[in-house]
Amino acid sequence: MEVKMIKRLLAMFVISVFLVSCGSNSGPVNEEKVAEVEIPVLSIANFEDEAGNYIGENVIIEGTVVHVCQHGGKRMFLIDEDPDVRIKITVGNDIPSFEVELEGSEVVVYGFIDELRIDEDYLVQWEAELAEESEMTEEEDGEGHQGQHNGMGEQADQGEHVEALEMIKEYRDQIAASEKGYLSFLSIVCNEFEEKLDETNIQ
Amino acid sequence: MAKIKWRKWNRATHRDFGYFFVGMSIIYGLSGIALNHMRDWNPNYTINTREVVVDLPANTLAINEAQVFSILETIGERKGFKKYYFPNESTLKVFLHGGSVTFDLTSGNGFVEKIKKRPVFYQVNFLHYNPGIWWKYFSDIFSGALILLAITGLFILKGKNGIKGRGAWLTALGIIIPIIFLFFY
Repeated sequence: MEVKMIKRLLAMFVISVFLVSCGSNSGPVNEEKVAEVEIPVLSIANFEDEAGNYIGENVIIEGTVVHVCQHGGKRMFLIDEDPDVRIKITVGNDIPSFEVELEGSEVVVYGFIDELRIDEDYLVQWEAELAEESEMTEEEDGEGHQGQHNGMGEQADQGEHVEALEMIKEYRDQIAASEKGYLSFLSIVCNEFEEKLDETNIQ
Repeated sequence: MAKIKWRKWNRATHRDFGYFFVGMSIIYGLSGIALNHMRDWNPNYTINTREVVVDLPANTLAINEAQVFSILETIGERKGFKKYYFPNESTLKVFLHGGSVTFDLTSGNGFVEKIKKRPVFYQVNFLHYNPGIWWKYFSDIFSGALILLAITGLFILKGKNGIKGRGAWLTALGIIIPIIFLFFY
């Protein structure tokens, strides 16, 4: 009888300690969360100038989806007014893929800035990868992303739909002309996005 | 001490895991074939295309939304309008619900592309691409179960068709074939 009583008291003590500790933590945690929410909103027009300051940090960006990779939907490209300025958005861990139906939609993307550095070593590795691939097959894929759905090419794809070897040559020329000795491509890894519904356009 | 009836347990394990993972086997089997042939077809979408020719206004770069609507009317695509933009000086791209139309502004030639999700394949590929953390755990369990199914399958039958007879030859062949591929690649 006594043993039972002690067990019950002990159980009640453990539960109450647990509840008290949960309750006492809730205040400061919420305050911290409120203080954390200060995410910079970038514009596509100024992305090139501003994004470098936020590498690895969370940002918000808004634009029109002009292309979604149809094979797997792992990346999409946003524009604003100027069609020549395209921002590459790739899927983050919580997003399985982007649907092709997003093309033409306005979206708000929440994610972080990722930097891809392309230097001579990168291009050499990419060429080796392509050589290996062309040994296995001579075929092209139907969408014009030749050799870009794997490894180095996929990462380097900036949505131009240029053949891989041509792109490598172009990058090599750009690296030679640059002072840094490498090219830096900034993109956004998307954690979450919202599609803005424009009812006036939906007929 | 009673002898453990391991064959009975083996059969039961093989049977019940087999029943439970029929759905998963079909999902990964279908999506595996689909993704193996990504270069030959688009496993997620069916894409229908057609060419059109339209009369364009004289000043093509000043085309406005009303003019886009009337151009789309002539090709029967007005209803699906979503948005338009000019990717370059000689191209107008109109996004539709479920597709797009790209016009060459110099000739008036257009290219309509209609995209639809491929039934079944879209869904199984979606799952194959690992849509979330819980799916990852469930598919890990499935992968473990496949190994278990393979091992328990070896010991289902006794006798000349079992692992000591026909089964041994077929099992050996199934292991040798991937090894041969490894040598060739």
